[in-house]
Amino acid sequence: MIGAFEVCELPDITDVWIWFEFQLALLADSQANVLKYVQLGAGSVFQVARPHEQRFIGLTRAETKAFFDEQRVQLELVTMFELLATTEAIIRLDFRSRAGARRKDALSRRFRQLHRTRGERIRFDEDILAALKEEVTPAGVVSAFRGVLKLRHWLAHGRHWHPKLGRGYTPNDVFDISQALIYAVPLA
Amino acid sequence: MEDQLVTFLRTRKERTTGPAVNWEEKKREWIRSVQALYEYVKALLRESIESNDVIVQIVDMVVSEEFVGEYTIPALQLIVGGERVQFLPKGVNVIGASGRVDIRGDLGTVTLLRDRPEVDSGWTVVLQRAPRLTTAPLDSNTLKFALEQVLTPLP
Repeated sequence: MIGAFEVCELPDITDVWIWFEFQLALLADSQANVLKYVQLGAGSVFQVARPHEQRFIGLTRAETKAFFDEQRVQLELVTMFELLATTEAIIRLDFRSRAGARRKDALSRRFRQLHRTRGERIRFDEDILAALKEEVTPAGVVSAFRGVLKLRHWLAHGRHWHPKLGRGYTPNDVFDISQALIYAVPLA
Repeated sequence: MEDQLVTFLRTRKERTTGPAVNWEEKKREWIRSVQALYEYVKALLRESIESNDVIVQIVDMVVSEEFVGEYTIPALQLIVGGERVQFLPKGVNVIGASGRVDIRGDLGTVTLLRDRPEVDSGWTVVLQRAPRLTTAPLDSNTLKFALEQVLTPLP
C-alpha cells in the first residue's frame, strides 16, 4: 500500500478508465481459466490448482458465469464512483487554481467571488457546478453531470435505498458525461 | 489471402472445441452414479429405514444442462419426522468434479461432489466453502453432519 494514501495531484479519468479495462480483462482471463475446469467428458477428476479457485468447485457453468457477472457489476459500480470522484477532484482543483490566480476570464472572476464568500465551505454542487452551469457551454453538460451525482451519492452511501436516477448508467455513460464536463471548462 | 475475420473465427473454433464427447454415454454413466449414491445412502440408513425412523422415496426429476440437454434422473427423498430432505442431482458438468448432488432441506443445502473415486462411495461432502474448501468422504458421520445442516434443529 506504499503511496496509496498520498495526494493525487493530477487526477485523470483516463487513468480510471485504463484501470477499469485492465480489471475487466483480468476477470475475463480468470473466468476462462475457471471454466476450463468444467469437465467436458474428460472422464477423470482433476484438481483445481489455485487456492482462490477452490470456491468454484462443484459449480455449474451457469453458476460460474453468474458469479463472474456479479463481479463485473461490482467493478462497474466501483468504476462509476471512481470516475465521479475523480471528476470532482479535477473540477475542485480547477476552482482552487482559478480562485488563487488573477485571470480575467468570466469563470475565474466568478470562482474568485465564490471563494471570497464561501471560503473553505465551498460546496461542489450548489456552488461550483451552479457557477459552471452559467459560465460553460453547452450548459447541458453541467446538468447531465448534476444528474449523475445522484448515482455518486447512492454509491457513496452504500446503496441502501432504491435510487431515483431518472435513467440507467453504465461506466461508458459516466465517463462520457464526466469527460464532457471536463472538456467544457475553459483551460485555466 | 484469407480474410482476417475468417481466420479469427476459425482459430476460435479450433481452440475452444475439445475432443468429441459422447454425451449420451456420459449422461448414462452420471445417472448410474447417482443411483449408486442412493443405494449407498440407503445402506448407511439401513437401521433407521428398518425402524421406520426414516422413510425413503425415489422420484424422477428433470435436469437441463448445457451440452447434455434435458434428461430425467432420480431424486432421493428422505422423510425424517415430518420434514423432507431431498437429494437433488445438479449436473454432471461442474468444476473440479464429475458431478454434484445437492442435499436440500428446510434449513439449507449441503453439496455432495463426485470427486473421489478412491473412497467407498466415490462422493464427498462439502463441509465448508470459506475460507478454504473442506470436504470429507461421504460416510455415516458426514451424512449425519449434512442432515444436521439442512434439518430444522429440535427445540
